[in-house]
Amino acid sequence: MSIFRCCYRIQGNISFLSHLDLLQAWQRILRRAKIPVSMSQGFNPHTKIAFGPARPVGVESLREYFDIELQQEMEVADFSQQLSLALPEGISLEEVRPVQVGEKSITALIAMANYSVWVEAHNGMDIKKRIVDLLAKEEIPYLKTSPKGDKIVNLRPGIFVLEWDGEMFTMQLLAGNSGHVRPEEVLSCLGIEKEETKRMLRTDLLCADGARP
Amino acid sequence: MVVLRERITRELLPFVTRPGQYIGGEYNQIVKDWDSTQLKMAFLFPDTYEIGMSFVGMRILYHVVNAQPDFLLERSFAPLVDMEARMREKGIPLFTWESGRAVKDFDVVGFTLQYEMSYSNILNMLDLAGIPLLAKDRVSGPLVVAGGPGAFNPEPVADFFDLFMLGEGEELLPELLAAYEKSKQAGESKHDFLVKAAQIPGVYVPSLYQVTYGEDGVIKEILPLENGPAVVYKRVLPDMDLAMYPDKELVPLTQVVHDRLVLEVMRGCTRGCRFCQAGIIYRPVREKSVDKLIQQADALLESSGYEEMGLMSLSTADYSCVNELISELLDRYSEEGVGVSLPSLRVDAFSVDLAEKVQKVRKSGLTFAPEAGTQRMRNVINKGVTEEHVLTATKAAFSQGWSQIKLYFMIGLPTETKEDLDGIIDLAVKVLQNGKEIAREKGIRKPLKVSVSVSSFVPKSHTPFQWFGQNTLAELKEKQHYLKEQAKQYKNLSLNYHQSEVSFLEAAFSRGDRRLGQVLLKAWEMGCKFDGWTEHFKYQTWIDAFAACGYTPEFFAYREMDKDEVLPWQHLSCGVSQKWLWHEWQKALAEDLTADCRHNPCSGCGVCQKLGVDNDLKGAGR
Repeated sequence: MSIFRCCYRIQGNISFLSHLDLLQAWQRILRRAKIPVSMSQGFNPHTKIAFGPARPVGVESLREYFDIELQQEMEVADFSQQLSLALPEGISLEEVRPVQVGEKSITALIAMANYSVWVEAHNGMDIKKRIVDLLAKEEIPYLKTSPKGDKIVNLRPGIFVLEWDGEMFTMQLLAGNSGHVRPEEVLSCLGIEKEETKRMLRTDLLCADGARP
Repeated sequence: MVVLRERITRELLPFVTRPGQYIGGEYNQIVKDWDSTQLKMAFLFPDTYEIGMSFVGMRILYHVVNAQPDFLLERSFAPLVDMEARMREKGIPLFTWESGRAVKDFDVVGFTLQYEMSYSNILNMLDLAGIPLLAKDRVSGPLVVAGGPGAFNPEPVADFFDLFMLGEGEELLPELLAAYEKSKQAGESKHDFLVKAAQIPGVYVPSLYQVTYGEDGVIKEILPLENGPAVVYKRVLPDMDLAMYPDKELVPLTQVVHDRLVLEVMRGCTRGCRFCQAGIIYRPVREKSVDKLIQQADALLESSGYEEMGLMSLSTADYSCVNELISELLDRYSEEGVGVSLPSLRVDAFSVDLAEKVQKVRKSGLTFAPEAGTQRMRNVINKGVTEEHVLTATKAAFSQGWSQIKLYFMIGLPTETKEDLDGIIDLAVKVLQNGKEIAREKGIRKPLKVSVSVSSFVPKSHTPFQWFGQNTLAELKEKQHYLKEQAKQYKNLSLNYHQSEVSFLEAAFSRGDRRLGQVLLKAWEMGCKFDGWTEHFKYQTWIDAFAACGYTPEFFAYREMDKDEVLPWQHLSCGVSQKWLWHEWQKALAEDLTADCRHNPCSGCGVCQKLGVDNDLKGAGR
């Protein structure tokens, strides 16, 4: 039994797929590619794939991950080639490597995400000052809405990096099992409307120590 | 044009619910080069993406047109209400999913007429596309065409279309596009093209027919002008093994209603249920051979990665090689985890065995459609099903482990009495009691459920019941109420019904003539759209729209028509003669049965003789 860790890029309009839709799309991609994925036992067998943290809808990404368990041994090169041929437009394979025995799963590893966010030019608005003010706060209360109910959370501990270079924000935010801060939420705390956002790109997903998984 | 695509991405997608439905980009999507392709057609489905993508007809035509080097076909669907609002606010017109181009930049815009209650969406989509709604106001711009079952009585939408295509489109649509391309190159006017197009078999140009009305509001005459054929006959493919079928399926990236590979096993049904329009207009029965189907299944599975395959037709259990086909499919694919599903079951034990065969693990519910509660009523509608069939089938289902049975019935059928309503409840109760007995014998603890679904009968054009005036709203509501009260007395029996107001308007449009175009336009102006969706349906607005135009839906829906009355669809034919339909109507009233011509002598409906085709069975059958 071998486990491969796959890293892929998702760019263009396909980034408007929800996380759940993308999981379903991957099932079909793997079938088309004839990848021998292991199945769980039981009444409702499902493929043994573990995905990294959900990507917000509309956010493109340079590095998304999943771990996949194979029924039989396969060369990484064959695996990558077969898979690449079955991908829809906008998704491409970045990297595939075998996971060693004892390594933690992708879901357990990811702790933060890096983003680049481009917004419309702001005339006369001092974004740098807003960033300093925001980061100086001990608490940043934010109302998260969800079908399960709304609740107020503190975003501050989940914002690790927040910078502005005049055109683009660079952010490092909490992601993974211990919670999420979305770039959109940070922008909203800075008083930047969704309408003013030009593009959001997840550039990396990282472990707690800052290494790639 | 690239600019429009970028605007969609920037200004629309981030702000709407489930944006994934608007992005296209499905695996096997075909995007042809715009500039080097002669003729461009946009296919518009008048409902949402998740519904439209489940429609096999579109998938076939997508393949057929794009296979031609000179043509391209791109898709568009009705945007949901939030998306539409955003598009209107930003001034972004309706676009195609493939290239994000404005629909009005295409040469031909085609709709499918699947359901009367989607007609308001057609107007809304034309408007969103920036195309004038009325055909007479369109001097330039795309040719607006339609096909589908609704094309057999397209009169209520005649004002909005340049032409309709009757019957099967695999050959007809490319012929029409070629003719249009030629006409475009020759610089002909739209009118000149339409006069010529009317000579293509299967093409109906409504502007070439003059309809006059008597003082009683009934049609006096339908008069063809400029050489328009007196009767337009549908197109039909004689051999389904030779018909074009996609070898690559579009694989949706987001959830759609029927998210599986579809294998069409045959076309047509000759059971002859008298309420059923599909059973008339798709005649005769033409099956594909098992070899052909396996070949198509292989190619489609390989190129799609689907994990489920649906065997589609009007009645798949009637396919003469169904056992052989299912065994072969299971042999080939079950190891790869590919499931087979049957969209509809016949009411008999044979069908339950089929369902058992394809069921993988979970046995949740099975649905049967006895359609009526008493033998007398079932004879009237020519549903060749007896109480014994129903009980044997449901017993088999319970014994084989299903715990939920759904039964479909209709109310408001011709000659219906209180006894027929009681018969619905009686039959459901018998099914339930049988189930309980079986559960007791087998020691099954899982609670049983029988749910009865009751729909209000809508008389449809081109059926023996086309002359029958629908039950009034008050009658239907009273019947629904009566059934509900009866059903309440039984535990484990549930009963539900559809909004009868929808059925009422559906009947008006199903039997309506071209005067309803004004009503439709008015209703759309007053905000009607997505009428098939309970949450959007505005009954009172529709009634107001009728009143504003000086008509009533009652006139169209409730009137019992005379034998000699000129029907609004008199000049449109699927090959089945009006004479035979009338004969069937009389037999219905006499509670007389007509046998299925697949396994019995010809009943004389006329389609085979008229169109030069025949039932084409590939096996001996059951």
